[in-house]
Amino acid sequence: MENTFFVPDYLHDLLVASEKGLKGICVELASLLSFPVILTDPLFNQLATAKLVHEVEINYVDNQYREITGDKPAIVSCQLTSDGVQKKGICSAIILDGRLRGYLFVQIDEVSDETITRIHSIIAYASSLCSLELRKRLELKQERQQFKEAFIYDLLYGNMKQKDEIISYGNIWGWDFTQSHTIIVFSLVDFDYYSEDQKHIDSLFFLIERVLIESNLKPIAMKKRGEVIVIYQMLGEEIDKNQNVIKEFIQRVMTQAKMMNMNTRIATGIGRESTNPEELYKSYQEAKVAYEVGLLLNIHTPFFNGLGLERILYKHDLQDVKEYYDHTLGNLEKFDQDHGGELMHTLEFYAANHYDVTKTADALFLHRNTLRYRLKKIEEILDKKLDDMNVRLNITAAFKIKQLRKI
Amino acid sequence: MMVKQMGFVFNVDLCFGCMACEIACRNENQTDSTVRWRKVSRLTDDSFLSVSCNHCNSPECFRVCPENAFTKRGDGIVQINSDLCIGCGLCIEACPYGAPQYDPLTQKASKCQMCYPRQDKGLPPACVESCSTEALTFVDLNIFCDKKMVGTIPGFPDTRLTNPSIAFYPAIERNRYFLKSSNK
Repeated sequence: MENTFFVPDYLHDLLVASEKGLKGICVELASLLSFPVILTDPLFNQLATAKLVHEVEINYVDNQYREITGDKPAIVSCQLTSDGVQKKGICSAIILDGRLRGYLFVQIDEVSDETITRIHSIIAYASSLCSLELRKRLELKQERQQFKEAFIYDLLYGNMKQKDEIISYGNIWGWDFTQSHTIIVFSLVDFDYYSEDQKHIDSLFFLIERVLIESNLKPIAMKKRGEVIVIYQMLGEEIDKNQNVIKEFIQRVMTQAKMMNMNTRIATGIGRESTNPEELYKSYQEAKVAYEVGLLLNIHTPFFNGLGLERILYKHDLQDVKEYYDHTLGNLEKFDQDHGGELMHTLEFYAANHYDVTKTADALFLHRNTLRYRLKKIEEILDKKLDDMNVRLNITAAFKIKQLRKI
Repeated sequence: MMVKQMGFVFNVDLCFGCMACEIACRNENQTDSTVRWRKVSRLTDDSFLSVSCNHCNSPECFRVCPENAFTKRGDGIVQINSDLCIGCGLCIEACPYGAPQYDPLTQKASKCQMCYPRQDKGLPPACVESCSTEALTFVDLNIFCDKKMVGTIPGFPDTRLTNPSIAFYPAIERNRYFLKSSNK
């Protein structure tokens, strides 16, 4: 062998420093170049820094990166602000699998172009080391996410029957299942698998995770076809207060979703709070019923707790509820069809206004006596007294069946 | 472990009602003659529909069971633990597709488990394997994608609450040039 292969010491030092992660690479590069080094994600959020005296803001990056397609990092100039003073910098994009994953900035002061050229290759090398480190992190995150999803899935379908097992698994990700939790389902109405909706679900998922982090909660959430399921940790013990906390959380998600023009398509459902993690699957099923009923009855934030009669009627045998409806209101409906009347409409309003004549008359823009006449007619057709509590209950239930589109 | 959702795909045009799937299911699982985990029925438009448990996303059987006998595996298969079943029949009433069946011999409910012992060996479910026209296939619905597929067809029960893991290729109306229209 005639050639001598020589690896410079500084490259070796950088490689060794990379064992300490992104911070290690930054510190080693900063000590080699004697310039401050900043490592950021693609949105310029700082991941690691070294040798920084003051807080640095990234003002401007030469837009050559838009043209970058390959894996090789290119070096461009940029402008930074340190302690209110504008400084020059050079920047290298961190590219992984053809996608921009971050930036490596070196804050330089007044140095000659020759010096800049000399340090280009070392910055490119450090940038490649950073991309390797980011790949490791990404793979680890993906691996963790898979385990996370499998665990949440088992929780949602009651596949884990041991409370202690759930608590200890939860501890791996810092989730405290000794506290009570409730399930919130966010779903995209009319989800179409073949359109852009899958991307919308991804955005919704990240948005929800962000809102949870902002609320100082460790996000326990997973995506499923057309829906995002959140296991929300309840901190208080009073149900009313907890409901307000959930309403506030949903409102925040909706506000953020509005910016992405998604809020009109998102519907939610909230299950009951469960202190026992083994029974979270019940809360999930309840949340889905609340979601479906909420859509039909146009309830903005449907809590399963607040549904009442609807939750029984919704899942009841279709033929049975149809017969019940016919038995209760069939005669009146037939009368309206034969005579072209509005008695059904009147009775519906009367029921909706808690069987109060004055309120119903106002709502229908009718004179009280006209309404009284109509109610008398309804009593004759149905052969029932409308002031009887049981009759009122039957009529209310029949209208609820109609609202649930069972008829 | 990846979370999957295995589900059946049924092509209405390819099924001619030979009942091979139903017989294969009974043969594979050795069920009683009154127990039909898979049923082939004739729809109003003279086409056929072969339905078994749809291993729903939100299974009603799972929700109503007082003994918590149902579980949903990581691959999406809804299973019943017969040791826990008390034969109350709530799941049979609740399922819109009539999937859980009452077994008079064991006096418990039983249902299609998508032949998971076969799947674990890398084989397709018995019904899928027996279908000579490939009208019945099975896929992972979390990743399978085809624009021609639809979520429901006329004659199939309401899918709103349960979100069944089944997809359909609907019947395509064909021009039959050899048939003269009746009014001519």
